Amino acid sequence: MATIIILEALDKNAKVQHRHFIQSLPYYVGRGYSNDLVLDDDFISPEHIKIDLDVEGNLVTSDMGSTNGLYLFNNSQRVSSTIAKTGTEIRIGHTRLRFRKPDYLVKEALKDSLHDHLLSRVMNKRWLLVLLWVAVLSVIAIDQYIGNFNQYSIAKLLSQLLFDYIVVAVWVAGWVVANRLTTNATNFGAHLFVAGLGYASLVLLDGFSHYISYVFSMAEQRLWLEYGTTLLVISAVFYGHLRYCSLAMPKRVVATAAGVSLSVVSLMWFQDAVDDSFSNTIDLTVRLKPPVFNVVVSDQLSEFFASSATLKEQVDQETTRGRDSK
Amino acid sequence: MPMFVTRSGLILFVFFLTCFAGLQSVAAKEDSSRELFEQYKSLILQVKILYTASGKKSSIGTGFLVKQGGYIVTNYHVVADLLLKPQQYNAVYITESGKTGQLKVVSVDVVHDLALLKADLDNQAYFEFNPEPIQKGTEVYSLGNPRDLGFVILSGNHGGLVEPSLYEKIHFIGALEPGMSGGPSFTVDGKVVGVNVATAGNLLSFLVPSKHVVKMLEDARSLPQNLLVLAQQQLQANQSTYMSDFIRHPIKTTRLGRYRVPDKLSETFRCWGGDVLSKPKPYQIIEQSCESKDDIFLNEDHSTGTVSYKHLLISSDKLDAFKFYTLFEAKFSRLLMAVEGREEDVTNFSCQEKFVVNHGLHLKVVYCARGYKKFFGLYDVVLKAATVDQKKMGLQTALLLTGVSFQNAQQFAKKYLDSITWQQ
Repeated sequence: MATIIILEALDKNAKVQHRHFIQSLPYYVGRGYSNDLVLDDDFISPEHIKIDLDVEGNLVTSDMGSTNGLYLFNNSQRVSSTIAKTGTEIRIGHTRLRFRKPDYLVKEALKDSLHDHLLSRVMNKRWLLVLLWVAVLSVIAIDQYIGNFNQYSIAKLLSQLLFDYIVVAVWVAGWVVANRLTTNATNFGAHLFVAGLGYASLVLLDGFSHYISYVFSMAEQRLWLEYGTTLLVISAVFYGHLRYCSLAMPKRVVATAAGVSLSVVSLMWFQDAVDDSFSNTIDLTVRLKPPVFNVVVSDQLSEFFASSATLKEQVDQETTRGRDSK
Repeated sequence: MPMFVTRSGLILFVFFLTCFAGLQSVAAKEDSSRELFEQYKSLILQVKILYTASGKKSSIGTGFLVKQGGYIVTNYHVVADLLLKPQQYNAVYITESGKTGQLKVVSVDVVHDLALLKADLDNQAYFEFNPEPIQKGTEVYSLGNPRDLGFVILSGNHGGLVEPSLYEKIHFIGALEPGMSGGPSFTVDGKVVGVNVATAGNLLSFLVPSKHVVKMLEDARSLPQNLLVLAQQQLQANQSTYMSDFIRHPIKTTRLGRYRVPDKLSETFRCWGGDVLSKPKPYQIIEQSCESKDDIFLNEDHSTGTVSYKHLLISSDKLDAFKFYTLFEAKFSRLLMAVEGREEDVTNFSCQEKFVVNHGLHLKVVYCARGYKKFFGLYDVVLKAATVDQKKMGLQTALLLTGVSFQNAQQFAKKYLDSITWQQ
């Protein structure tokens, strides 16, 4: 026999379960112990198929009079024999078999990005981890400090943040459990870190968006700033968590993270778009910041009021719409 | 001891005398009241607004005959529901003798809270008017059906015009009750001086001067078909009168810290204010508010025709600039948040927001407006501004104009903002 043939038993996802090297022909496959390959499949006959060369030198698989027969994979037509080339898949009983030759080309090895990942490198440096946690806590502390104009006490601050802490803790616990189920490791430190970083970014970006809203007079566009922030933070956080939970390719993780954040933001957008409920309040949160941030050129009084023509159009449109719908 | 008896006896005697004297005058008054009631009771009727679907009572008022052919005057606010939602309501009258029938709204004067109705009555007699001013203290009698308890007459005194006010009213010193709204108040010779309109507590009630009724009757000959259009024209004309007055005259200012801010626009406003010195707090707020004294009733949840404004001077020497602006922002968002009105009356507010520099003052200005759905061309407008050039001090102001034209609002808002200055 000139070439070695490799026979692979596959599972339903085409993953190889076991692999056999056919060194000599004929080669017998069945449930009986006299076969070259013994398969424990109740739907396979004791002597099921024979693999051998025909007169023209083709590798032929033939049925040896089995109960359930021989099939080409994904074909319901029972055959008595079939020529096997490399890549040919057959089915006997409930077992899927594939032929391969040793010259079959396999793909290059994947780059191990999990262990070479920036996050992993950070996770391995304790001092960096501590430093980042200090940064996270500082951001929260500064936010709380600026946001409180009345008496400031640590106890009050902690109690205000208690709910946030509980949410973060539950979030981390969820990811740890998911991680354990998928890869057998918990990666508790990593998930805690990703969640903490996400929380701090949320606080930071929210604060930042207030300044943007003030500087560029964007109170009307408040929702878009909110969408942008949410999109950014959710995709980053999901990416961070998923990297530890799955062995999937980074591309797939990126896609999942983007998908999750996009659907969350779409849901937010949809909710806001559908909500045209009446309110007799001025639903506009105008931000006010210290004079240092007055960097945009101001209108003159007459300019400001001249631009209110657009406002009139907007209101009149709504008025007529309200009347027409009646 | 005997001394004491004598003295208390004397006091008792004096007390009784006073009582009898009082009783005597009350009795005389009662006589004339009784006569007047008998004389005029056939000229008044109860106005009932009913839900068409259930036939249940929605509101009640009083009306009185003013012309042959069953023409009746009452308050606009009594029949407002009927006018705004004619499919849901209908109106009936009940006379003192118990006769009932349907009522139709013929005309309104929404600004002065008057309505002209028509009943299927074939009356010969009706009330006459005295539109001339009469002397303060003159005895005035009022007819009506308070709280659906039956027709009554009560006497009071003419308290003169409530002055100054955007919407002229007569002060009636007597106890008008709900349900008497729309009834006539007349002198002893039966001439109507005003229409019962509102009560502001014990012995403090208001009448619409009868000259407005006379005007409504005169105008009733040439009316637009649609009464809502008529009401809209009246509201437009009214706002245009007082707004152009405000726009024409310079705005008087008052000092607030180192700022000058609009003071009482005219005598038709009332202003109040004070320091809000919350001791344990690291900041202080000084507040000043003004509002026009009267409003125009459109419906139970919506009145209009008002001008109001408020200034806040906020300062702190304890907070740093970031903390101060957190406080400043929080106060600004709470400054004039809601304006009354329901979904069927008005749209949502739309706003524009910008930095404005004026007289060297840097301001963040927000200008919001919403439209009236039933009275097209009228708006509620809100102007809010906050100074943003000081680190630990700032002025905030909010102006609310209800039921005005967009142009008038814009002109006045600009003038208002322009009057705010900073003193070195």
